[in-house]
Amino acid sequence: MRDPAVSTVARKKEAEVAAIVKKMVIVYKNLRTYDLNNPVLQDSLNLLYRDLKQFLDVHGLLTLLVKESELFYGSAVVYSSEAKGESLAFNLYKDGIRLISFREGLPRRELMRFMIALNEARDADPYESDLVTILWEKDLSYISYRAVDIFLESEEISNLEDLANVPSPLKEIQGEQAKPECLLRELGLREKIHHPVRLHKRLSESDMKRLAREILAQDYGAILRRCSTICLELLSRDVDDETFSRVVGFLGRICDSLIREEDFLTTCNILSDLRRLYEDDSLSEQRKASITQTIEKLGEKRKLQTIDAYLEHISEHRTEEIYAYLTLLAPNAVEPLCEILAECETRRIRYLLCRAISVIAKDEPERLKPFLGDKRWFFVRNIAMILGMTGNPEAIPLLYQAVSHPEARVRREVARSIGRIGSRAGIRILKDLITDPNKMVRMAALTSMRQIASPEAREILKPMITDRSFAKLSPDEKREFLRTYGSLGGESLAFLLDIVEGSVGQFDEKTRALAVYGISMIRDPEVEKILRTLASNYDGPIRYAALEALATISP
Amino acid sequence: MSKPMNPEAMTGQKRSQLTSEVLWDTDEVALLKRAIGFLSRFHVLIKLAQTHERHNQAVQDATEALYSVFIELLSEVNQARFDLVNGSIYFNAARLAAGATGYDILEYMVKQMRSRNLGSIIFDETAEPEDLVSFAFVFARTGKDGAAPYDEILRLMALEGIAGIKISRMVSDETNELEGEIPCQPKEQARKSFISAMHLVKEAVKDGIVQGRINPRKIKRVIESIVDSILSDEHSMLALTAIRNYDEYTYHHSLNVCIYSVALANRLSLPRKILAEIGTAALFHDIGKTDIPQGILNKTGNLSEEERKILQKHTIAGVKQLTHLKKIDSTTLRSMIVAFSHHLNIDSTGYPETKRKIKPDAISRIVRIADVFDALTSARIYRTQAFSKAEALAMISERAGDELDATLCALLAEVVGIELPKPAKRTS
Repeated sequence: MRDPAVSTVARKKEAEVAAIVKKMVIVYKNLRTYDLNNPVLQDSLNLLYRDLKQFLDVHGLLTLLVKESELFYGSAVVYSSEAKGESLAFNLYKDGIRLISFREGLPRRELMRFMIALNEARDADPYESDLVTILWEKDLSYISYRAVDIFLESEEISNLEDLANVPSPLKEIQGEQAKPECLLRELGLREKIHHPVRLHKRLSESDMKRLAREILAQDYGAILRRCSTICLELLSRDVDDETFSRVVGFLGRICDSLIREEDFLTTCNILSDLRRLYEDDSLSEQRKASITQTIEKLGEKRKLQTIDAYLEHISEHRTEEIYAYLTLLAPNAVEPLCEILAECETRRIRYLLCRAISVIAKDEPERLKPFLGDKRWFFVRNIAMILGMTGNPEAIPLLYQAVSHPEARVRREVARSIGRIGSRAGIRILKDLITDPNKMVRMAALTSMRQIASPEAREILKPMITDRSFAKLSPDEKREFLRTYGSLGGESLAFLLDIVEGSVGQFDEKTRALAVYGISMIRDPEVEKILRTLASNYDGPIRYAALEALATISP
Repeated sequence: MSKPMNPEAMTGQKRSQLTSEVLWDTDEVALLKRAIGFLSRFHVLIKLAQTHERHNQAVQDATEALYSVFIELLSEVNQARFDLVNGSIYFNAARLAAGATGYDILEYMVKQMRSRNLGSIIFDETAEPEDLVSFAFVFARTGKDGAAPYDEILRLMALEGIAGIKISRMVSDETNELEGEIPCQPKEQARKSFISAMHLVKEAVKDGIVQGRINPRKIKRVIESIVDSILSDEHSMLALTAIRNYDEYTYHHSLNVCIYSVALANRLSLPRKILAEIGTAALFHDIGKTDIPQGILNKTGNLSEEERKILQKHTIAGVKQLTHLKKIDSTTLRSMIVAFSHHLNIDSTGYPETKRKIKPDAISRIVRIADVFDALTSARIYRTQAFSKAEALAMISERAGDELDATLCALLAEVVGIELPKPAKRTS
């Protein structure tokens, strides 16, 4: 019969362990809910550590036996749960852990690492790893475990003697035997050493330190870079189509990992190399398709979301690396990038995205069409800007959609974008925008008209200048009209001179003087002479304008 | 002087730094070196105690030397606590990693403590030279037979009146009481790991790592068991490399290269996770040979130039095969690098010839030297006469510095327990 005193002590100990395990379960659950630095999680860990340390200081060791639904301390059940998914016992048990021990001296950090390992195991792909492999990698010192080795013990273990069984027919091999030189060549070594100085090196700590450091310095990013070099090396060799496609696909996966490592430069180099290969005319269609497919994969929404996460915190000097990377993506990246752009709050990043999207969408501007109908005016303005940055005349019909956008800043961006594209096809849109109720839109349209410099514009502007309503415009707008008219070429000169001289329309002296600025825009050697004449023949605003214009056109 | 090396006082971060990284220049590392120095002197004293009387001058000199190191050590910490945990010795909660010289000492101490069921030996400030020498004699007298050596040590310590030194039992004894299961001895564990790894390599070669039929979790478990075996009993594991079977040369060779590579890397005090990655990369270094016709692999005579070129393609074929693996992690990538570079020399000779300048990384150099050594010491179907280990090492040492890594050559000599040949005398 059990001694009652002993039994009381044992029961007390069991109760202590049950309380510790309870706290362990709380931390286990909290890890599911909170970030590592969350105070709730940290507090629960502190409580667990305090109790566990107290127990270990007194007893030296805490060993738990793991069953499918229970944890035992000795013969007492200290934890029980039938809910398999969340059960601490089951999650230990399913991966083969049968016993787990905590030793005196356990540091808090190691306890945390153990709890994190339990959490990681819940999310681990069972095909790739399990709690045992995760715990092994954590290399814990004060927590040990015993696991059923499902792989080692499921093998039909043969005798070592069987493995070493040397088949007798070998002795009967007749004919030539390979020479040692052949083996050396096979191993990639020189057959003969010209200066046979044998190494008699004493191992030094510094040599070993150097080697160890070299290995430790080769982090994941460095390994990825080396592998990418090897894969590109393979692509430059005579490999079959199937291998080519697979290696290209693998390079795409390396790019994914490199992006997670925030190494955009190496990723750029890989993509540039792939694009160079693609441009090789001798490359088969199948190979080209594999390159396209790989680059398109990198432009998928879920992959670009990774980049979105970096964009907000990445330093300014590194934004160009991201820009360079984004510009190498395929047009399918346009849509997800636009979605990122719509949500982006940093001006610098928005501009970066606009530049990048314009490069990717250059040949397929119609991909931007759906976004022109977005409710967010600022986003539509960005899309209008991107369309202009593509420089592709095919973007002009798309811009037309936004000509009547209720927000003036969108219409102004449309006007600017048409100027950036510089195609005559945009003049018709500018004609509408020149009569826009908003002055900044009209001004932008005039600037764009100057950029396009199409003779058609003259036919649009001339009646507007001579119209009565012209007098109602502000001086700077009038000036912009007249400068634009002048910028359309030598044929504008006669009309502008008529204005200055007062022989056309009913303009006041100030407006006539503004026409001088229009003349100064004409790229003609005669213009300087005309301006000098105007400066000497007139007084007041015309003379002043002529002198000012002369100053601007002087070399 | 601060006294940080106490398991409770030491922060987790500091401990982690000491155990998971190779830090060679810090004060803590200097302290750990002194701890190894202490064990080294203690080891000398135990050896002397086995063969000499207590009043012998050599014993007294060794005691004095041990005590002087002890005083030096205790000037920095409150106590010198040595724990045996998972086959490693910890000094005040920091794992002792062997450098160029300490490996044998640590291995000896692990064996001695394990055989005596000792989990910890704690030397505190009150320990006198008399305590040290008495303890060494008690230590030397116990552990030879299997009868409760721990209890015997306790009894003898009490009898000798040893103060200032405390011991505790190996806790893993308690964890071994799992449903009557008898824990594996290191040798048995090594054997199990070896056979499992052999099955794994066969599966990989026959079923194909290419088809993704091999469970990566299984690869991890098997490699981890090999690493554990090497960490706990390197000799037993290395001894298994002597098993040869001409018919299954590829499997044996792959496994041997894995064992040699992990043993070499272990001497560099690398973290376990990297040892496992190196082991995996080494195990599959020749996976590309599955693409090479058997007729070439098993040809009994010399290979023609064309045949050699085909054989040399196995490095590229290895990379191709590994691109089939679904997951890109550091193990997969290191395996790929090693498959490609394990025949590249440090002077850029060897094969495959590359358009881009690719020099072999340190891990590929480790696998390379292990590969060359095992290939030279193995008999094969086409070359029944293998070189002896000494001959192979001599051939390797001739190529050290130009083709092979000189430090690794010297390290290999230490791992296989053969002295490097003396340098050839140059005549004018």
